Amino acid sequence: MSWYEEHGPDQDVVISTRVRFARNIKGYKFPHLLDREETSELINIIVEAVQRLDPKSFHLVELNSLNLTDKQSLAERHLISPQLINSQQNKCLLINREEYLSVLILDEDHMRIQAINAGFNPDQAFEQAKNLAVALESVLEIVYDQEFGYLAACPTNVGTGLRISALLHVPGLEYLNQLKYMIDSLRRSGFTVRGYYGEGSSEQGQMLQISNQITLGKSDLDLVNQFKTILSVFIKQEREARKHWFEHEKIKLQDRIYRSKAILSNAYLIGHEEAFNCLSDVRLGRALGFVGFPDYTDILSLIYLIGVGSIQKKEGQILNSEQRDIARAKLIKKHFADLINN
Amino acid sequence: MICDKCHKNEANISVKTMVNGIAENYYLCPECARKQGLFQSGFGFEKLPVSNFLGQALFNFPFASMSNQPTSIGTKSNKSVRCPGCGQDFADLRKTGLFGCPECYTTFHDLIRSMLDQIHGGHIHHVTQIASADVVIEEMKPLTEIEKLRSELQEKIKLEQYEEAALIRDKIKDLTAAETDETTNNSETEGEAE
Repeated sequence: MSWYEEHGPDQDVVISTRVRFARNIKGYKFPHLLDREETSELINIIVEAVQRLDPKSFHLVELNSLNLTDKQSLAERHLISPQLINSQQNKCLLINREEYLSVLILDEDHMRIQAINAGFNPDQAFEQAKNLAVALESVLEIVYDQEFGYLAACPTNVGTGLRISALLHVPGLEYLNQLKYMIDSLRRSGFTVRGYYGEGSSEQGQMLQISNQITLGKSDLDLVNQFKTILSVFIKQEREARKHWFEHEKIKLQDRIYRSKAILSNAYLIGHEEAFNCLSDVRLGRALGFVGFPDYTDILSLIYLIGVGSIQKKEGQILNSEQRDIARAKLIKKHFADLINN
Repeated sequence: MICDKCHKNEANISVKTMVNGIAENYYLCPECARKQGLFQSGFGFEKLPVSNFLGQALFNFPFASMSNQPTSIGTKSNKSVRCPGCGQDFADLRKTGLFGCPECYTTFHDLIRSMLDQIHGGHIHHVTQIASADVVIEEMKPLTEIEKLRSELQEKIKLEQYEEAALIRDKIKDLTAAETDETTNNSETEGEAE
């Protein structure tokens, strides 16, 4: 079972929590300066180390050997960054069976050790990523500086190398026009706010990714705890906003949610943006306890399935924009029919 | 020209995309261009150069604290310093927004201190190495010979290769016996010491 098919804490607001550590290996330049020979040497060293620790659960994905669709699909599930889709360099991903634990090899740093969990689960994600980071440190020579901590290619990652992020569903705050204010105050407290698809994507809309900016000067555990404190406030605010919305504009809210459900259950053509927004509304319906709405896990699986890359991967062929919209509508409709029949 | 997306604003950005090998050309207004993510309406990112935008901004930031430091990298006299580890100089770092190798942290030490001050809000000392590391190593230690054999055994049984499974089972038995002997010996020695 993949991690996104499981339930997690505070799932009404938080879709997933992710923790990653940036780590580099002694004796090598950072990835963008490596030549071909050093690249394959380093890949071998890392893959061997991970497989020595845990030979059974990790499998290796060489991004160069994948087609565009497969890479898009990985990015849509947040396993690689969208920028990597078009990278010509040889990069690899080691990923475990349930997809919650992975090591991205030779992206900006030699290793990005990443754990992702359903709902708001910073402790567990931190524990999982750290376990792997520490274990790898016992078998690899990691660059560590007394003054600066773990050294990284980009100065924004130096220190703990820790980046913790959560993907939030915040339709309530958006509807009440509170989001801008919340985002500003988060930014002032040293957090980065991005759109659903991370770096470069729009921050508008009902899904946000929040992560720490500071990686140095605090222990990794402090960073996690600070993140937890700030996020709990955010989660509470979103719940309040939803409550307010429901109490004051119940009919309008119900109308919007049931309309979106109707579109998803009946459309013959649906673009990604519209499907994404409708799924967001349906997710809100589920959180408000409306009857006959799919579970969070089903909705997240659908969000993953409807991406441009994932749709084509599922159909097993390359599709143009209209063909994708048809396939997407069909897929969603089928899912909704199955859910109602069950 | 009018924006191909909103059909309202003046377009001043030309976007060339390659989706599934088909080249397409769009004209967008700045607003729509900003909103346009990779995953919406089939617009794709152009290939990005190897660089980090945030890092780039930092390397190009005029550090106030540096202007009165004659030895800092940003000043003229020091601009030509090259890192012995990777051969990069300050201009190279500015271009990519990335350090070339771990040794850069020594070569460009002063610069880095000012820079990290900007990013990490004055905290320029790494506080601890990983917290409670010792607990964790335990959980993730490499498999022992016996554990490896056991998982191999399960694999063989699954594949119904019983002859090979029997061989592995015997090996495990031998190893376990050897291990038990060792522990018994050890406890005996300990007993004697007491």
